[in-house]
Amino acid sequence: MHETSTEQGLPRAAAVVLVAVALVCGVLLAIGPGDYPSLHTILDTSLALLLGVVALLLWDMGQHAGSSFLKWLGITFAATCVLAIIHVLVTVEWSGPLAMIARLRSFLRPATWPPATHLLPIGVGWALWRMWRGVTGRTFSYAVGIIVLGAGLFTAFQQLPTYLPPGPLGITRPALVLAPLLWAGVGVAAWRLRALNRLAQALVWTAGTLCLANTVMLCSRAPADGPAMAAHLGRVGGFLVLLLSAMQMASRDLRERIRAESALASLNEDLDRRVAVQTAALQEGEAKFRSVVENMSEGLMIFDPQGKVLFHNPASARMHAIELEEVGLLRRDELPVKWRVCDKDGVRLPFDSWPIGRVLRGERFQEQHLQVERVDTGATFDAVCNGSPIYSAGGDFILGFITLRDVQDDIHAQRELARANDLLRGFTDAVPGLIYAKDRDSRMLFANNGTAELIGRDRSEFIGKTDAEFLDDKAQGEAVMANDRHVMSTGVSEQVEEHVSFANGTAATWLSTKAPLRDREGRITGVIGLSVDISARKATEAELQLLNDRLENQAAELTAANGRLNEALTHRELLVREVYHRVKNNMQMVDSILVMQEGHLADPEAKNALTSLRGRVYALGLVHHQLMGSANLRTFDVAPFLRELTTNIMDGGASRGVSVRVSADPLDVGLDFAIPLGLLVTELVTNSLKHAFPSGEGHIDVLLSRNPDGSFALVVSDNGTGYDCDDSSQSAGAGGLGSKIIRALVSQLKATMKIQSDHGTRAEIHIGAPA
Amino acid sequence: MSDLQRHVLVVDDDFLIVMGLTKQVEDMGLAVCASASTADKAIELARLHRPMVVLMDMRLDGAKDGVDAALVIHEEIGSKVIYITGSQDPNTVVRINTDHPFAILFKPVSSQQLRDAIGAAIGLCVV
Repeated sequence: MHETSTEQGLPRAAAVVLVAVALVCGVLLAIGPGDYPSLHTILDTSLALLLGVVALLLWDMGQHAGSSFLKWLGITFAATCVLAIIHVLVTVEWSGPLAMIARLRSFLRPATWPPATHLLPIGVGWALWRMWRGVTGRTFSYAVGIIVLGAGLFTAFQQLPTYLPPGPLGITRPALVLAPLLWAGVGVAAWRLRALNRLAQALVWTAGTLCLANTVMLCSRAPADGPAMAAHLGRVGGFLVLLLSAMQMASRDLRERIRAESALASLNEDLDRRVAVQTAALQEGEAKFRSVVENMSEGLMIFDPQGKVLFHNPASARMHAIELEEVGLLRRDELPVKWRVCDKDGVRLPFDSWPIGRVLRGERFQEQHLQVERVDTGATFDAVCNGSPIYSAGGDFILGFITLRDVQDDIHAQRELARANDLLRGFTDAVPGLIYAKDRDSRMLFANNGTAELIGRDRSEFIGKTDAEFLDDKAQGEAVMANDRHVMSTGVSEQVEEHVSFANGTAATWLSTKAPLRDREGRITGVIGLSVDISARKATEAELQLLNDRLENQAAELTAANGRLNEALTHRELLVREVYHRVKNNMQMVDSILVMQEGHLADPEAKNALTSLRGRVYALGLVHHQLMGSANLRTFDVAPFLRELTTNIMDGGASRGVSVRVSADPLDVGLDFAIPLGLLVTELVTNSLKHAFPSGEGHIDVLLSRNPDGSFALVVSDNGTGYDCDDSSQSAGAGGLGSKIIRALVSQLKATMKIQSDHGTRAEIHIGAPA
Repeated sequence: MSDLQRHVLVVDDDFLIVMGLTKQVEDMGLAVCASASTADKAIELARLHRPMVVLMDMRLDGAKDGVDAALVIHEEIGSKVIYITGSQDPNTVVRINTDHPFAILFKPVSSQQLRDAIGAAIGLCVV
């Protein structure tokens, strides 16, 4: 920066040139008028060359910097250079073939330099003026103007006088007075316009120097005298100042350009690096974005401001049932398939209300439900869509996008769920009793109508609440919840009776089957229950229980009575046995008496009578003996009795050669029948033994048979001698005790007796059915 | 055995029955050595007379019954005991059978039954 500030002023080299030129001029002027033709030639030549160099430099700078001003200056200097060269050419003393040029001198006067002297400040001033006016370009018109001006000046000065005798201020060439004034004007203008162009600064010095030089020239008397040389030197200095300034500017521009280029190169490098990094990041980001977009379950469509779909992700393509290659670059109204779009309620949407149309109008929307139908195939899908436009920083619509979520399955699942729910509710509401589900804290999750009726409130009033909260009787609620907790803690379903009153206050008993509610992993998440009103059953049970108790009491009483009866019966049996025992004992006593009596008798008749008596006593005793041995103490089988009876009679009889056979049908007989029967058999058998077998040999048959009508036949027969008889009464031993007894017994038995005597005796007694 | 006497001991609490039985035994030509109406007396007499046969009633005077007496007699003396009882009570029969009775006769007993039983008992003893 400091460089720039110093270079705003006069270059050091130019200052040195100016100082040197000033010193030489001072010396030349101090010497007084002299003649320096060689120097004049050298200086004129230098001036011409210098003007050419400056002209080229300025044109080049103008070309590079794109500055019309510099180009104009270049043109001016070039034109001046041409004039200067003409001046030099006509000044030189030519010889040989070039002497022709020397001959031109007569035509072209030696004073050919003034046109150049005037052309230059005018051209520079014009260029400054154009710059000040802001004119750019139009170089050609400027060049034409300069050439015309140069030609005009050249012609004009051909006519003007050259050297005159010194006038005021020693001016010998008044025609040239305009030149320093022009340069002064140019200097002032350059100074005022120095801000517009860097070279204007240098022009100030150049103009100042040339103004002085041309002023001195006014005093020159010959082409090569001292003042003329000073003027020439001043011109050379002024042009050098311009040249050096221009060169310095050029070199500075070059440096700055190099610096700028290196900075640019490093910036470029940096930029390349950043671009590389950002490109990588973008590629990575895009890869991620693409991966997300391609794998997301939601469909994504991106479209441009014309509604042309630029992108479908796979989900969107799947939902639309289109091939990915098929779309992409197709306009929405050129899609190969036609769509029909309806809203949630099935109302057909016009084309402009489709999601793309809405986004194109700048709308943002979310969770819009759509039913989309593909016209050609009839395939439909339900979707929830979101849409939004994307704007650039400048607020221009650049892209729009739509996301689609296929909710077909959701809707089906919801319908299925609803159907299952309806079914469940239908079942549960149809079931008499309560069905419910509760969560871990016994808050009601589900309840059927029965439950709502029990509680007496609308479902919404107790769902989510506990029994303790919605039941009027808090104690009942707590008891129910305690049962719930027990089921949930054990994980085992159970049946409990619960007491929960109806909403109208009627007490009720419920048989509740409660089971743990488990989730998919088997964790217990609550309890489900089924409760049936068993109040009526409980009442019936209570009545039954009461009846049962009564019956049991009665049964107990009956048992007690039965016990007493049994006791009485046992007692009676004991008594009966005792009686029989005593009867038998008494019989034994009677028999003992008879035995002893027998011993005191000598009369065989009497002895026989006693023996018969003993037989009868024995028969009585045997009846009691049989009774005592029977189970019921009242009846006994008649066959063993008859057998024992006859055996005993036979044993007591003297006739060992007589055999007896007893055959009897099974017949239970009582005391009233057995005693007469036994006595009858005793008498009849004894009779046979006494009378039928004089030889001591024979056989007796005792037969008791039962007739189908229930009557009996007792037959006692022997194969003995028999006896003569006219009538049965006699034959039974008329007058004998035995016969009397037999008749009495037959009569007692309400029987009839028939006695036959034919090859033995046969007594046949028919007895009616025993009462 | 040989020291047993050819006597019969009659045990019954009813004196008439004792007399009747005695008459019938004597009619068989056997001697009745003694008669008793209690168990203790029966044992005492049996020890004294050592009879071959004892006619034993079940029901006796005193606390003990015929079986009590018969058990001791059978054990100590070895007499054949013929029970003569009016009872067919099953308990009584079971109790009698605990004493290896020679015979059980139920009242009223016919002369023949008694004769057969005693005869069998004596015959067994003698032989």
